[in-house]
Amino acid sequence: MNHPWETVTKAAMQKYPNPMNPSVFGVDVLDRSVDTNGRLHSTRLLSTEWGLPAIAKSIIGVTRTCTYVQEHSVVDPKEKTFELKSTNISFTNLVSVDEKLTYKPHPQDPEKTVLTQEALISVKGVSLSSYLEGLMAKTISANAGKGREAMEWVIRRLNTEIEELAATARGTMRVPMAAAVADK
Amino acid sequence: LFYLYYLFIYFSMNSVGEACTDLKREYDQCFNRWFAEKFLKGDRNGDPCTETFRKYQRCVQKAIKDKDIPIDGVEFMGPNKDKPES
Repeated sequence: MNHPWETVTKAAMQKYPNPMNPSVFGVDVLDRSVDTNGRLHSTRLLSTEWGLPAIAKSIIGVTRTCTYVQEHSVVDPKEKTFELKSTNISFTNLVSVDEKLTYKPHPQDPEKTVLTQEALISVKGVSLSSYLEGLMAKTISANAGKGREAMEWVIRRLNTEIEELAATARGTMRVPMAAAVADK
Repeated sequence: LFYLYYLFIYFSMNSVGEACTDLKREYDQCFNRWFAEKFLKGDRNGDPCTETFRKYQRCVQKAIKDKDIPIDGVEFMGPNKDKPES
């Protein structure tokens, strides 16, 4: 990504909501602390709601469902790494999806950031397992591109907020409240 | 600044507990500011958000119990939990 690591990290921390991930409806911080090495640990709960294909009804019994993902992340501001590990905590009897994302500055260009993304998928006790695993792997790989788009969207949004804050502070922007509400 | 308030609301995330969303947004605002302006710039002074976090936590913990969400291995901040000093 053509942004420095700090910009990407700030955006990644505020990744939701974004239009590329409409199924994520809730993000909650369950725990957060700074360790003795100055790294920030966060445990978060991501709540998603899916409309599933009709075949899901015969497998899990519903076609709309809430699934929950638990994520643990570590930000090291000295080493400039942001690592996130997430795992599903719903339907663990059926499937296990473990994802790891790491954001680091580009080794040659400090104005760029490299994202590395891995996913480990296993489907349990279903004879179609290799087919479903393949399908999920394709989806996750396709979503990696979407993830980058999502980050770009969040970065643009944060930059807009900063510009508008600066403009307001300078007194160049005076927007009546009624007009702002009508705009939305 | 009312315009910015609406912008913030429009682009904000909800909590899993509907009743916790306001507390969550208050905490997020505090955290995001501290994270960007202090933590990432190497300022090791304590984070100023512990009070808002506690309030938000109490609400989320209840919502998670109510919705039976199978959280794994998290000790929620309670009155006896010590957060390590940063």
